[in-house]
Amino acid sequence: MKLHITADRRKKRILMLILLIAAIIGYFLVDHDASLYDTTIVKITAIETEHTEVQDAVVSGKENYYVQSITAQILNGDRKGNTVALSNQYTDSNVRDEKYRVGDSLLVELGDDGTSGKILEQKRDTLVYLLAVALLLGMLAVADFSGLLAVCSLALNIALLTIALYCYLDGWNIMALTAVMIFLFSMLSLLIGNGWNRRSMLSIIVTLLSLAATAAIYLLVRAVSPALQYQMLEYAVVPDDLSALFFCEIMVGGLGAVMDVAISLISTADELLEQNPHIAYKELKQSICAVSDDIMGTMVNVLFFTYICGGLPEMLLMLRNNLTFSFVWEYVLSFELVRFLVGSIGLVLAVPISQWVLHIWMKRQEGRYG
Amino acid sequence: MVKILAVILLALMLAVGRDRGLQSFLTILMNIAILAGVLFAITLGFHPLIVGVIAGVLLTVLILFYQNGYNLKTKVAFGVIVAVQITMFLIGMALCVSGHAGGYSEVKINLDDGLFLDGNVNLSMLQVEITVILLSLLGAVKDAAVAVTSAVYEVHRNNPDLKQSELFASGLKIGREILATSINTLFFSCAGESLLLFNIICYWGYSFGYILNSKALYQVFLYSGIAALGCIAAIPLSALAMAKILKRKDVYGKAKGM
Repeated sequence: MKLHITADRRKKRILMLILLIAAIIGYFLVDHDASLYDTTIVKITAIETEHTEVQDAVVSGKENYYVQSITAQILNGDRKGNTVALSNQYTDSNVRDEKYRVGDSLLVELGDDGTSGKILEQKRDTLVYLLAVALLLGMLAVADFSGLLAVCSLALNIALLTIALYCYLDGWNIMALTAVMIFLFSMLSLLIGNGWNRRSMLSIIVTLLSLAATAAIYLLVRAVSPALQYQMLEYAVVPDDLSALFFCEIMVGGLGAVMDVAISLISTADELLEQNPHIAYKELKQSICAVSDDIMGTMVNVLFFTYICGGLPEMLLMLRNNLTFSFVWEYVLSFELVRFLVGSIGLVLAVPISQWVLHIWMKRQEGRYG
Repeated sequence: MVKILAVILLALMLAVGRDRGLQSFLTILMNIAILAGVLFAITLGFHPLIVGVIAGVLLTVLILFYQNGYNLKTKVAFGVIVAVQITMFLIGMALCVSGHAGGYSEVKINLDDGLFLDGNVNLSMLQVEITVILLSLLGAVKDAAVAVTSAVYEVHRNNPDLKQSELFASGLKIGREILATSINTLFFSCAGESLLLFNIICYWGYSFGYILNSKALYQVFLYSGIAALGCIAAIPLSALAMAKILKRKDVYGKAKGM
């Protein structure tokens, strides 16, 4: 038995080593993938910076303006190897500009003569690759097979999301699409994570019921309270129905947390039922309450930090522009808070709904087996 | 709308969790107070990174010791969270600086989002971005660390004879279950928050090459990717730290007994 374990462990170590080497080789490939791009890619070889002007900042202090004269080498296309001259203006604050450094790669639109051009974007694919690989290897190293499953379900969810976006652009009804997507998302995530069994079935039921209840609460509150300033929503495009899109956003956003609570509670109950199939509902409820007390607070915190922190840069920009706090509240903070509150309501609702679903399910089981 | 929803949440939390529910709600209020402090401190001109570090420590102490009590489990979890935060801070800073992730993304500039805002703010948006990344992973890391340390502690209490490696293995096993769901939570909250952004990118028909290099998507990926990485790192670290400390305590305890 012991020998078997160490052999297994050694196998895993070898596998991880192979993956690590593959990741390092992959890094060099991604770092030299310029020839795959249609867009011209250049690497900065020299920069001359000139301090051009000083403006007063809105609240306090000064803002320095600089112009970088960039010399860069073309890495792909017909003009590979040639140098181009680029110009880039930046400020100390970098609100709408970047300060480039020697060694950065850029995506560039070349002028007709090929010696000058316009900077489109920084080439970030190497960094994206590094973070993605770190996540992948980390998941596999810490969680073995279940890490692999988690990665698979993540990839499938992303694919599903992409399909949904195209369906929306195709003119599908947003509400119907949201409902279908939430159904598919929860089926997919829970079935891949736990397999086709009692645990997954009950968790899916709890998740869907909780989200439906949350949606009902949200729509009810929306109907009786003054509308939010939807046109100030981040990335809002005017012709869309923004209130429906925002509803869709908060539902999808809360889905993960609700699923998390549902699966934790149902797993605990399932574990107890397996140990003692004739356990009384009262006892079951007690242990579910103990678990929910532990996770509710932390899950609410997770949602809080991921949502509220996302709005911080925008809020700071507004405050540094001498805008009042009530303005910030109305145009940024209220959106983030609504997202957070609706998500939290969903995950708190998942607790009584789990108890209720379990209760009904146990009654039915009793009826079946006497 | 916010007020009504907040009242509903408070009522639900009280109904479901009673004391613990009230405590959770108070924690949120205190979190909001600290973040408001961060906002005003940076607005007044304090260095964003310093403010971020102070707020990070304060928030960790608050959500950890207030919500979970001051005991061995939370003390170990605190150490783990600080270690993970420092590591993630360094990684996040490297990725932020080399990817120029601060400020408005190309999508926002093209959409004229916030056109009425003056760019002369005399505040490094890059530093703000790093601070935000640091703070936004707090919740997820704390979740993972506390779950694993308390699980290892429970296992040890029920089977005091388990060796350190066995304790570590059982901590890892519980960590695995948490990891999948935490990653799921992070994914959906990130997808939900960025749905409109994804919508626009689909609408504009970004090419695959552009998707890989887009600043807007890079920012989104940084937020959730670093938080997920923090979760992943926190699990083995807290299992190891808890197992080690429990075993060392055993040895001390025996020495005292003699």
